[in-house]
Amino acid sequence: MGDRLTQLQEAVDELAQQFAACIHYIISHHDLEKLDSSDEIREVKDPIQASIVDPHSAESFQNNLKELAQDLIMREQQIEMLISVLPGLENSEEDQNKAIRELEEELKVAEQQRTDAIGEKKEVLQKLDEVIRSVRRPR
Amino acid sequence: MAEIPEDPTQRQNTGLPLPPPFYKDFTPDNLLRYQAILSSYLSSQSRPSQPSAAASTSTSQTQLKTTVPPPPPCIPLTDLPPELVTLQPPSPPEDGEWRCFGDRYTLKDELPTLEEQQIERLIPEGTFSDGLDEKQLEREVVLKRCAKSLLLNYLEMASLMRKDPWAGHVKSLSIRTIFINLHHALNEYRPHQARESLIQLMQEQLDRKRAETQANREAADKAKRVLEGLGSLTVPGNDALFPGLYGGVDGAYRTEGSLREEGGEGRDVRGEGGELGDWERGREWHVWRAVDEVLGNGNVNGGIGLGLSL
Repeated sequence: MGDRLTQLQEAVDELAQQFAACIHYIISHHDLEKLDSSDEIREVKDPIQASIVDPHSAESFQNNLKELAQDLIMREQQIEMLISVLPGLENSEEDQNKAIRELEEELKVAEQQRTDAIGEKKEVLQKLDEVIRSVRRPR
Repeated sequence: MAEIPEDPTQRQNTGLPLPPPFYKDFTPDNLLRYQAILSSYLSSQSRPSQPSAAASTSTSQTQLKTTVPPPPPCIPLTDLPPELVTLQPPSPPEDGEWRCFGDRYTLKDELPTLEEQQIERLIPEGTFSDGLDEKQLEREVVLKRCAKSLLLNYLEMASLMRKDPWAGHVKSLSIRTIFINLHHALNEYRPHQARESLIQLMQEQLDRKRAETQANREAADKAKRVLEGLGSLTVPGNDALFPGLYGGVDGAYRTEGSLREEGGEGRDVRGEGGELGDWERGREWHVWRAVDEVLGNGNVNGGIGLGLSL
């Protein structure tokens, strides 16, 4: 979890991964087709060969394709959403520099006020403390 | 130079290379000696360089520009005793480039342009790096366009591959180009985001400071009101409890003396009246209830850390 720009870049990378993953899914789980009525689908004995294509049932294959496609679109929407919330899209570099300088000045003033206020508070507290300590319960 | 005692078992256990042999030169003694030599060298050398350094710092403050810090001072190696040579960091490479793990690095850390990477440029130049007004609005559009193009190209690639599995190659190259362009745009946006975060941080800091000032002022005001309240307290059958406090805060210093006087008056009254015990108990009760009321209000809400030791 980083800043928005990093989030966006990560989302873009994930989209790329999803692209590859979808192709991979289709390659490894597609159905086997006969090109000709005389063709026959051989039983593959070699486990390595068999693992290359592992046909899923037509229904689940279609369902999975649909889900993958939805995921792709979701990811793209997420990217667009992140783009629209990028910080400071509307500010130019000059605006930013100006804002930084203004804030710097304001911070100086605020710091001064803060120190003054603390001093004032301490002074009043001390007076109050003196008064309270000077009170004696009458005997 | 001392030999590093080699422990074969340890060497097998760690996957990392051994430290360079001169790490043993970094003893506290040697560091102190190096610092001494460095400072004496600097005091003899750096007279002319001092004003320029001051000037550079002042310009960097005014311009808000990031500048590479000046390289640390270097003593000519011939002036150093041999065992201290390794303590001095090497000077930066003169051509501004070095290699590390087979990659090229430059002192000036900048983003290589798309052209340098031989990637086709899809995003308009300077949209993200410059702050030109007419280009600001485009940023969002350009980025979204990239994202949509990605999906479209992927769809095209998938349809092409249905007919000819090898035909997708061209499209995959386009997708690659778009991805690289998108990442490049985002990287160009980084400085902008950094400034934006700085603004945000400063704003937060400002808000915090103002809130603290406000809280302190409120606390001080409450305390003042308590003082004034104490000054106006009266007890039935007597004058003001704290006569000195009528003036508010300014009179607060006189209270102790006034209270003693008042105590004296109390004794006088006791002397005149007959039923001493009842009267005194009643007076005490009134006074302490009044003080509790005033202090209680001031304390609960104000959050003032008063050292109340009554």
